[in-house]
Amino acid sequence: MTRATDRPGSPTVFHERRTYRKRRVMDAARVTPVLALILWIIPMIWPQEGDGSVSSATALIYIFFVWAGIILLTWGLSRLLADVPDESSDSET
Amino acid sequence: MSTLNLLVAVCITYVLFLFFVAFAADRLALQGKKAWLRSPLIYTLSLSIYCTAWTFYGAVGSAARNGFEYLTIYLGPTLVMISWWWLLRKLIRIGRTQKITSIADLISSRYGKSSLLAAGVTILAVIGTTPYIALQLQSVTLSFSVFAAQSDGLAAQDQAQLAFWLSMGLALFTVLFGTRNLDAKERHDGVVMAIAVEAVVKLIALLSVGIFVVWGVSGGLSEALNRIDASEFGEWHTDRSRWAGLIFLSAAAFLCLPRTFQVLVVENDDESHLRTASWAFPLYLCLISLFVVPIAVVGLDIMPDGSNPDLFVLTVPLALGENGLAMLSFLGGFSSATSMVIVAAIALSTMVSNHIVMPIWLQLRPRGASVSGDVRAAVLLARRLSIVGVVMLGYLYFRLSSGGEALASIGLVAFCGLAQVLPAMLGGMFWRGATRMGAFAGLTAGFAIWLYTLYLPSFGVGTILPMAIIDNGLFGLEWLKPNALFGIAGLDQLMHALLWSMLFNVVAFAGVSLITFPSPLERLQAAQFVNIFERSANARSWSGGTAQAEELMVMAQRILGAGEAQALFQRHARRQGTRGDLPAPTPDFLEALERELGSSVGAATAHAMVGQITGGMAISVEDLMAVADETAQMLEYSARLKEQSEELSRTALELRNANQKLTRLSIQKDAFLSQISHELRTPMTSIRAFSEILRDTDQMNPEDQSRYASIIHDEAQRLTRLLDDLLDLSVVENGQVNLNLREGTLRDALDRAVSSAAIGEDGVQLKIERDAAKEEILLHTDLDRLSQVFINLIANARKYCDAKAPKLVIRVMQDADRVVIDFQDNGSGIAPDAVDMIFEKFARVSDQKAGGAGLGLAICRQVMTRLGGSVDYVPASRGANFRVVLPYRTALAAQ
Amino acid sequence: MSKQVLLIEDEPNIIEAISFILSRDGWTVKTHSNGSDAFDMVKERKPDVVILDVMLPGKSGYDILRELRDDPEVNGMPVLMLTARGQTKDREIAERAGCDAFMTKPFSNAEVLETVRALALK
Repeated sequence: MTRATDRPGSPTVFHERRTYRKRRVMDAARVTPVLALILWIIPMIWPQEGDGSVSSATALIYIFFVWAGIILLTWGLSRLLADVPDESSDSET
Repeated sequence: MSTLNLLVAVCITYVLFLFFVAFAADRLALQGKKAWLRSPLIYTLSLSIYCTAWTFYGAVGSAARNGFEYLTIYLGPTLVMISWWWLLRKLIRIGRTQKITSIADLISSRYGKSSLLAAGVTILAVIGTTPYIALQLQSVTLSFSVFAAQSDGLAAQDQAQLAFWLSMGLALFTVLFGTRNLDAKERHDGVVMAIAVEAVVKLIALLSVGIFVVWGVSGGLSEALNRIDASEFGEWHTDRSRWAGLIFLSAAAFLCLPRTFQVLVVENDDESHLRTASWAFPLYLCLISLFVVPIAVVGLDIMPDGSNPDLFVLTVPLALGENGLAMLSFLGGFSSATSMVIVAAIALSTMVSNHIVMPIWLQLRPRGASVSGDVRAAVLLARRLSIVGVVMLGYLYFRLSSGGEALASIGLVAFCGLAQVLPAMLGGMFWRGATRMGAFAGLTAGFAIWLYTLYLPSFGVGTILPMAIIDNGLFGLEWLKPNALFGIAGLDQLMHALLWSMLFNVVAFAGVSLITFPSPLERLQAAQFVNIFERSANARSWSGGTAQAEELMVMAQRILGAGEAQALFQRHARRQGTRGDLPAPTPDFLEALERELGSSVGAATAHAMVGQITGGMAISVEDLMAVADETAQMLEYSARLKEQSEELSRTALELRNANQKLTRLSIQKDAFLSQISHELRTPMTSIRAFSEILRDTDQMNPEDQSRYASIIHDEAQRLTRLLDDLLDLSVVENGQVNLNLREGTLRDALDRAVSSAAIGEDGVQLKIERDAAKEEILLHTDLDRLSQVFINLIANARKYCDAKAPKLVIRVMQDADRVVIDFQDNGSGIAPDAVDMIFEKFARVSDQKAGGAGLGLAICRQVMTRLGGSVDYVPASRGANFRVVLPYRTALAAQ
Repeated sequence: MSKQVLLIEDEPNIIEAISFILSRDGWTVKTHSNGSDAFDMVKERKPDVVILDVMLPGKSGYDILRELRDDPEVNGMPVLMLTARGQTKDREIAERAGCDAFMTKPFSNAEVLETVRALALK
């Protein structure tokens, strides 16, 4: 077994690393909505009156930038998840 | 009036265009060109059914009134879409494997195929959607009146008439393109395509107005932003509870609205489309909401006080003299309204007909009797009537509410009502402990509170709920005031209703689920739903019992259509390893059949129909034992064991059959050896005898001499023929035959066979009936071998048909994927116990001397296998009936 | 008067061959080619020798032979059985049924003649 890990080019190691990467991509895909939710809940804690209140234009820009970022992130993840077979997907929780 | 006329003309043209698009898409789908009709792009665009006229016009209105709150309506669905990996993928997989036809079907199917639950969700959906349809009609009439206001205005009467004709048109469109197929799982390609086109129109319209407002009116992006800061919007200001509550509400609604569920799950053709939609639909939503605030700001700026902000998208371009842009924007709104009505009508009609009309219809019929009448027609009729009913209900609601302001808020009210399904839905997908009673309790509690605190008050104070209740609470109890339950006042009415209904819904759902025990069927469905990705166990709900395969076949034919039902039954018969067309009614088969039927009439109805025939609503003992095990692992393990033991007993049965067959074959083979010996020795006897005569007789007249020589010659030929047959069989059997593939018509092959086999050596002519027109099928196959098969079958009929006037009917039928040629004579047919032997080598049905060695049919079968088809004996009402089947690829379309 | 042979056989060519051989030798040959009424034929004709094929339409040669043996009127009649099935068990069945001689097709003409002559002398 140790031999296999000694040689980085050996197929078993490569395979495991690939599987490992895939699993983490799946994790990222699961976490994305939470991230988006947190980022969009942030406006709730902005001060609404007096000093330091956020201007409408800034708020608008913030929300739409988060939106664009989330879309890009989802796009990237969906491409990485393109060739994941079904079976492995939910077996690991 | 000319503007109005123009508007009507544009509307009609646009609707005709939609009819054309839907029609063309359906045609393309029929021709099998589905590749781009069912692309991820079309799927994504069809999801935009979420954005109705309420969002198209209402978003700007909401922004003008409540600031940034409108964004929540789009953020919720975005969150749902980006949760595709753990949420939507599972939902869609469940929808596909369980053949779910609607959200009501999903809930009912998960909780033990409960009809009551399905009917409940259906009623909830109808109550929640009807006002929404009315809202769409209102938006169209309002937008008409905006244009009309420029000329003479639009009388209330005209508005009503307009709404009426619009709803009629939409009902017609939906009936035409929405009920073409009975199978709800067969996608409505035409409708989806039309929706996708409308999605593009919506987006382009709103973007155009936005671009015009930002760059045309405000003079650039930064100016537009400054203008926003300078306007009433000023600083970020929004009700915090509504911000969070509405994000949740819109996310829930996106999952639970019948129309979004329809396109998201039911119309989904390919799970991989979700991957694209996961980012593309959020992009669509983002673009739709991008220019809402600038439009609202400019509208508030330039429009006179008191003008309706809901119509800014129309009135701003009109006020600035951009009539073309206004027209485009009008079409965008029109698209939003029409597409919503169409899809909502399809989704609701599926639910109403499957979960309300059909169960009642089934109940009214006597139990136990097999399904009579054309169920297929009944279901289609029910669905069509439901569509018209749903749209008309929307129209009536519109008339009764007289298009008042009350309608404007109905969007969120409907969202809140339908969101009551969410706990039962998510619970069903992720929690195996959720039970039917729990779902029922949760739904009832949530629905009741929503009705009391939000829906009824939404009609306006004093219309349905008397003033006294609003002021003093139900029965005069303070804590039952509809806008301040349990004395908690001061909350926004919507948030108040959402909070209490959801709270009670979830608590009742979880609580009752925990204390009740699910039925076996529920538990099996629960395992299937929750572990959809590790589908090892099938829900076994039927014991084989006394189910009659024929009766099931009759029923399935009525619902699925003859061809499809036959294909389904044959597929399962082959899988079970039984000869013939009818599979044994094993639990596996019944389960599959039920699911197939379920996609046409809904799970609960299908369950009831199969139950009527099999007579066993009960669960088998094995099932009960399987469910008795507590943990999921145990359940799956035992299911697997059961599968294996079933497999074993099936193998044992097959072995027994094979053994019987072998025994019979060995007897047969012995008999054959005698037979072949007889066949060889008989001609040899004549040859030997006559050759000795010729040799030993000195003076023989030349006449006799030549006659004896010709007898020797004939008998030698008879020997050769026999040997040829034997060799032919062994060659075909060993697969050494080279097929000589070429093109020709079936008719030619039959002609050749008939001319060489219809008249026997004894001069007896067999009467043959054919239909030449149907035989004009172009084939690409080995025509000589095919003719050989035909010759054999015709010669058999000639030899064995025992009728006084032997007659053979050759019938050609064409299926979607095969050509079937039947050879039926008018004799007494083949005895049932001999049927499975006739294709064996050396088998002969009788001791009659018919001149063959019993190899003909064996050769035929081998040849047909080589050609990729089959030849079988099909029991017929009278006479022997042989059926030759050619696969479609050897038969090229005649035209 | 020449002796009479009744040939019960269904292959026309074989009938012709045997008839030729025997009539050349001075026999009167009557033929019959159906199994079902062969027994009545034998009783009616009372031939000196019966040549009986095994595979006959209607009734098998063995059955006819058994009927003959059971009937006191004709049970002593010499019978030559012909069969195209060459297995030993066929010969056994024939002997058990009580035939006087048994021949497997194809036979030699001389052999047939000899056997028939021998049977007629019994």
